Amino acid sequence: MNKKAIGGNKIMIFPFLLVLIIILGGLVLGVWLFFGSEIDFRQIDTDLLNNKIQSCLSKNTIDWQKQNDFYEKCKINQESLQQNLLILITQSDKTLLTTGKIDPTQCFLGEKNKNYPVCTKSSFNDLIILTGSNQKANKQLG
Amino acid sequence: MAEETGTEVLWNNIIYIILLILFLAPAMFFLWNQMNGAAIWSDFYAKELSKVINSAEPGDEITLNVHKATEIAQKNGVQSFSEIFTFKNPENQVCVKLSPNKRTCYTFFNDVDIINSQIKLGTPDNILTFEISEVQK
Repeated sequence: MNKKAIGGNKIMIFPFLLVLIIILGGLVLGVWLFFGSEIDFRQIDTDLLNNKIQSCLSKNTIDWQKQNDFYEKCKINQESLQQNLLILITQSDKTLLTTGKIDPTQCFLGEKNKNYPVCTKSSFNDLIILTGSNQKANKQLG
Repeated sequence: MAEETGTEVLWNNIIYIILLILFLAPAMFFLWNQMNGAAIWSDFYAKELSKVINSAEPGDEITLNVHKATEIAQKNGVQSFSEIFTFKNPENQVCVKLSPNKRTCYTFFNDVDIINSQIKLGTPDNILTFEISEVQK
């Protein structure tokens, strides 16, 4: 074999690597996309929260002026709502209670952007109850 | 013109095989980890448990078939079954660990505490039981 042929033979390692990366990369990407995506539980979360509030309001009289009265009577953990859940209760455009960092204007825009929260709106007597969830599973080491 | 010797041919092939192994081993490790479903099942169990807890009321006793989870955890070498399901009452979180050093947690909003959680083995499936109680401050 002449020197050119030897050089060509050695250079063939690059196409080999490229093919390996493409095949294995595609395989890993495919599996990751299929198995890696988490179950979307946001609709269930927000429906449950909305039902719990409705059920609570039907059994209790809430003093909206009194801080924490709603959370104590409805047995809802205020801290757990802060990051990824939303409660907005209004009465004829007057806000009685709002909690969570979710922007209510993003509700019902989920079709345009999957990262927007999923919300549930219901009414109880003259109250409008809007709940939302953007909670994702938290992966931890240990 | 110099002929390629047998040793050179052998070395060329060995390099190709080493490269193949170097790329294949981590890819196969990743695929194996994904294929036994630990990630997706821990996600499922954490969310399902949070749903059950959110719907429960103090005084309820919950019984849940967790046979699949225990099977996966055992295959993956999770040391003890008591590590699989953890309830963090102060943070209102339920965590599921189906592979070593990796757990999936999900927050529940119901203001309750989870007590007396235990896995009952072979009845005939493995069953997780726990009780819902008022928050103990």
